[in-house]
Amino acid sequence: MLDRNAQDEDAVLLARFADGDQAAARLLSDRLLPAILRQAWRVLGDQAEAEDVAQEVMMKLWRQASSWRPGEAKVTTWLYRVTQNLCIDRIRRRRPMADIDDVAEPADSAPSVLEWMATTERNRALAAAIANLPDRQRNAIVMRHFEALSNPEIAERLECSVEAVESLLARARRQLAKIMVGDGKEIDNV
Amino acid sequence: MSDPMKTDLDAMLDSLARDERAARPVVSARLSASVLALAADAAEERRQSVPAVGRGVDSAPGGMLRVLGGLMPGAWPGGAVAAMVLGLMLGMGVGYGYGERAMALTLLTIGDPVAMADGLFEGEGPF
Repeated sequence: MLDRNAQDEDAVLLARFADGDQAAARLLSDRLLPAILRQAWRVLGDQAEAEDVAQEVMMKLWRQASSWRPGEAKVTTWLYRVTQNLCIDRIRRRRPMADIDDVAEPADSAPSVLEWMATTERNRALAAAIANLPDRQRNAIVMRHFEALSNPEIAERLECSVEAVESLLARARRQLAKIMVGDGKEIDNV
Repeated sequence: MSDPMKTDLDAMLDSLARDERAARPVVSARLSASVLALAADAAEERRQSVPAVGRGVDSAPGGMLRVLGGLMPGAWPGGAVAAMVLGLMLGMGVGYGYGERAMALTLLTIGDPVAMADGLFEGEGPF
């Protein structure tokens, strides 16, 4: 979990990098790259593609360094948004033959990964249930349970209030519980 | 009283999260090296895009001074040197303008440049 000091440290390191300190780039990379890679992997379901996206995101960060304004946005929040957008762009490019107007808004937490990682029937059913949640509910559940982020941190990344995050989580849980615990037939159908 | 449905769901989510953690990709040495190489490239691009002696001047007028300063040799901060040169040029321009007007006034008054020059040399000029 990243606290405010850690966030400030990201901004400080970015400023140091902008001043020409290459050691700061290494520290930033060590701190930020794993989370970017994980996020891209969950969305894209492919490690090679996730690595490409992670590189692209970091390149944008390096180029942004000199114009970064500390205090306006948190580095991790900005990275989350850039990663998500780049992943969605890639998912859109995967369907070159479809008319863009006919393509539904792509899901941004990959069902394929969630399904692939499930080793038990129950986990498989839960993974599929999570994959079928509305985007924001799914993102909130993934950040809360897989990334172990606090509600305020989730609120920052989703750019909403903490209360809205609580509401998203509550609705997601209700939906998951309904599918997983409420009705055996629904589990079978997942 | 705890909600058994909620507890079950939390346990299932925890179990799934453990699976996810086990399957997560790790940052490879190749990816790490590539990202650092990109950082070095970006730093180099930034160095080349900013004139060597004009760095650090970020205001709008400073931007112009930075460009001028970048053209000037020496160890002084380029912006400061450029400001001094601009000030000197401005001062000379204003001074020249006044001198010219004074000369024109003198000619109109005396009507004879030679006499004016004589007067100047003798300390009796119009100034």
